[in-house]
Amino acid sequence: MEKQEYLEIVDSKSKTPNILENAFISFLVGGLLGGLFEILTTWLINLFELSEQVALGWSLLTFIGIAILLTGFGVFDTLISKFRFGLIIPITGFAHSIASSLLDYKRDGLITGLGSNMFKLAGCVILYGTVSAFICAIVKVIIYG
Amino acid sequence: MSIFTSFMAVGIICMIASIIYDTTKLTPGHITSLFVVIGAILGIFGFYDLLAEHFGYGLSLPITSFGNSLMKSAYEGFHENGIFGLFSGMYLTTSAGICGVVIFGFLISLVCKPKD
Repeated sequence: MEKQEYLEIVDSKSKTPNILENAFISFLVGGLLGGLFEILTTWLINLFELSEQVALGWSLLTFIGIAILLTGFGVFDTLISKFRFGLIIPITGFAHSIASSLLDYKRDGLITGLGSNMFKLAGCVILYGTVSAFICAIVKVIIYG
Repeated sequence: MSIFTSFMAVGIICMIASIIYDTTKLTPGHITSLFVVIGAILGIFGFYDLLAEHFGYGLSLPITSFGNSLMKSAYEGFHENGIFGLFSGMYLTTSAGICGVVIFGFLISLVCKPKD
């Protein structure tokens, strides 16, 4: 098969992403999680009389726990491929990235597998979060004192 | 009412990410890193907290709030302990999230087997 011909076939087979549909699905799923998070947090504040900070922490932990549990059962990968950024941008995506790299490298052993590969995907979030937060904090100190 | 505003706020952030992904060649890793950095930058003038005040608790859910709280706790640390506080205060508020992910992830990786 000639190269030109091959490229034409690849072009005709590969789908162009449906931007509007993907954006709408992400909006709906992300929004749903946001609404649930709001309900859970106000519920925790009212029922257990927690402070805002503690209630937010517990809600985040709940979402993280559910995401990791679903990743362990193998459900979350299919959910992510369907709903994509509705699940990647909330904290669930961060939890999923750590849990899935832990599961992927489990066969390499506890130290060389789990230990050294844990932050393979989530490392970028922690690295750039820390660096940018450090710089921004210095800028804020300079501006506000 | 704040359930609806939380819905809108988180939904719009996720929608922006989806549009960026479809129109550029960035990977999801690039986009989450970008959103963390944006969160930290929005925190400089307290803009993210202002948004959270108006739209509800939902704004603590997206990864942008991770950058914002890192920045905020580093800044508060500076006021308590000076330059050293920038280092020691950085992870104060996000510690629960990071620690939770590590502990739960480790437990689940001991129990579950990866799918082929």
